[in-house]
Amino acid sequence: MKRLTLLMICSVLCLTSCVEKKYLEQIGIVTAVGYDMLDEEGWLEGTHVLFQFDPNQANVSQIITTRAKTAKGLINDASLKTSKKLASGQLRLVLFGDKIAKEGVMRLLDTLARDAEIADMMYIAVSETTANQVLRANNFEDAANIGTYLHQLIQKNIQDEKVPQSTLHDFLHHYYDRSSDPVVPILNEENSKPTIRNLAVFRGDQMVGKISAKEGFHLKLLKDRFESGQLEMVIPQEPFIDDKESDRHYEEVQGIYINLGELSSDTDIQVVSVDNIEFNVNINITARVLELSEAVKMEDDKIIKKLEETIDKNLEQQTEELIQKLQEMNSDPVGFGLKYQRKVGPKAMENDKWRELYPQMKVKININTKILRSGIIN
Amino acid sequence: MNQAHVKIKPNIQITAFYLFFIIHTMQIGAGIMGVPQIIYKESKNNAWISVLIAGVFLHLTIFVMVTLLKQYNNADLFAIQKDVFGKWISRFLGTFYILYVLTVTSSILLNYTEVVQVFIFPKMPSLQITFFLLFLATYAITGGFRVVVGSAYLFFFLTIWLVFSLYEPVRHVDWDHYFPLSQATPKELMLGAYKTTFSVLGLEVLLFVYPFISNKKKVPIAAHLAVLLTTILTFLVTFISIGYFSGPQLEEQIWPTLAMFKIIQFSILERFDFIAVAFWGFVILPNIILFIWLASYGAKRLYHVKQKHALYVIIILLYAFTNFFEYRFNINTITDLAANVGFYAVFIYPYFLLLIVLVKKKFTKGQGSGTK
Repeated sequence: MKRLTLLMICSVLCLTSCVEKKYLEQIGIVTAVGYDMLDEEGWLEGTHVLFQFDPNQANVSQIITTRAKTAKGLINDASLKTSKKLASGQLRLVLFGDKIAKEGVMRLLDTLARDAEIADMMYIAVSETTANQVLRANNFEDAANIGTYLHQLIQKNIQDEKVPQSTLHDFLHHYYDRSSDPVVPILNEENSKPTIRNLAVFRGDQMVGKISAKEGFHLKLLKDRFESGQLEMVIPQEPFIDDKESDRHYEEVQGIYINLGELSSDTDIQVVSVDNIEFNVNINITARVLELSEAVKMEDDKIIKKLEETIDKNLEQQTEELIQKLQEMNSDPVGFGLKYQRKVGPKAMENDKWRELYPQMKVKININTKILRSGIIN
Repeated sequence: MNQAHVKIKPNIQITAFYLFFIIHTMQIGAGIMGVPQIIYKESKNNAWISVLIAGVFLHLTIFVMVTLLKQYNNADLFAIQKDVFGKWISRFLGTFYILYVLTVTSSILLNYTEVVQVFIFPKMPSLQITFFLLFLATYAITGGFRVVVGSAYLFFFLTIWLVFSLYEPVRHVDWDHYFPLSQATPKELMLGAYKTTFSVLGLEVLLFVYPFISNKKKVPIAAHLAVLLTTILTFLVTFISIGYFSGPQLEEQIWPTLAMFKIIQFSILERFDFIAVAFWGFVILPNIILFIWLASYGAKRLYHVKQKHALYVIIILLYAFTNFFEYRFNINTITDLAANVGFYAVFIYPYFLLLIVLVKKKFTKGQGSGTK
């Protein structure tokens, strides 16, 4: 038994031995990387955001711009421009310029998928203009550097259910799944501060279009479930014309503005007909009213029912519009293809068969909203 | 009739309780790191069914091995072979078995070395990693059989908790990937099951440690439980991999099981995969300890040399051999070789041997009654 104890100690010592020493002060931790395509053929411009530990300095961030033909070449080029040893194990965000996103990003993601040092939970995003411009923005609130700020910005919005999951793992997962496509946030610079306004829709590894973050709500409604989402919408005024307490009159307000919170949903997508590529989508939503521009009598069950039905119709219409838009882009971020594959098997979906079928797809959406509460007033 | 008998001193005997750990540790090693991809290539999204088929086959093989051993009082494979085939053929077969065990060991060493180099220390030379592992193995084996068994027991509890970390990948599982259920043809399913057996080799250890066990009655339960746990673990990683990765993505992963650890994060620990890969050393270590012990013990039984001397020769050979290979495709060649030979040595040979033993028994019995 003594030998066994010794064996344990020895294995702890041997198997955990440090070979390569890295001193914190000498390391530049890359927290974000931006890739842009240059006009010359094949050349890339990389923007590396470094985080460094210097006990004497307050400014701990540095941005290095480099040129090369591969992603790892950019890192090599960057090391010529700094005294720090570059480490990409803490990479939190990869930002693609608009141009390279349209051209195809797998060329660069390949190295990220290959390199064991890269974390799978890193975010992928696209820039409205160039990645360089967004990463050089100098307003990043109280974050340590722009990389951390952008990471937190995206992370928070994913948690708030405003942006779909867009980690490296998710991207690769949907890319390789020939019957679904990735969606990532688009960052744009407003008053030298990066913000999210749109979402980039990919077909394979190419960005084929964008949808607004508001449309992103409908996308998430289709593909995911909400736990506590939020939605603002306009519903027509006519059905409620008699039900209002007429103390509010706004000339400029056309229709009733309504805001729903604590919205939870669950979605069931079913293949109705394999031959005609017909789907049935049933979505159940429960929510509570947070804001109403008109004083509708909420105590009446009938009026609430009417309100729910109006919301349903409105949502159905908007969701259908979104699907149409996605079909025009021939991109399937919802993953209808996967549901279809459930019926026909992966072999029938080979050779990008789904790309031919997808534009002909017919979807019938059936939304059922329930308003649970209306706040502390009726 | 059964002359074959191996005498084991009571002070180095173990209870069947430890047999569970021996068999299980032998089976789970380098193979499970990559097994989902290998099975997926054959039976696609029905790969998990292949694992279950392989599991049934494992139990059947254990049953056959136990039946085979029960034909004798207290024999191991070497003794049985000697009884059946005579001195020279049995010595040849035994040597062949030892060579197979050594091939498996080198395959494990090479694979783990590569994982360490790819995941954690790209600059760490293979010479160093294999030295550490082989040094520790030598140290344990010179301590005798009980230390070898003890290491299997201890390291099992040190590493089994890794299963719970699969919880995070489960949350990312895409349930659509499992359908349609009847996708693979029976042939594909069987091929998948066949490939599964490659990563669960090691149950042959039962044929060698049987004489060491004091309470023989409990042997079947311990052995069956061990392969059951192996089947469950293999099933879990395969099943989760299918949902977690999309098909073509899974086919590209060399070590899907390790890749799934990449999404686990804690606030104080961003990269759990590094911990998992380091901990895998604790999975690998008892694995190679047992395999090398088996090889050196086999040499002792066959050639009547001192086990220590055999051990030193084996360690030096392994060290030289494993540092001979540098490229991934070389490692693949040796792994495939070990797997293919292993399938016949572990999953076909015992059935064959049992048949011969039974026939022989019947024959000698008939003869015996005839002379009366």
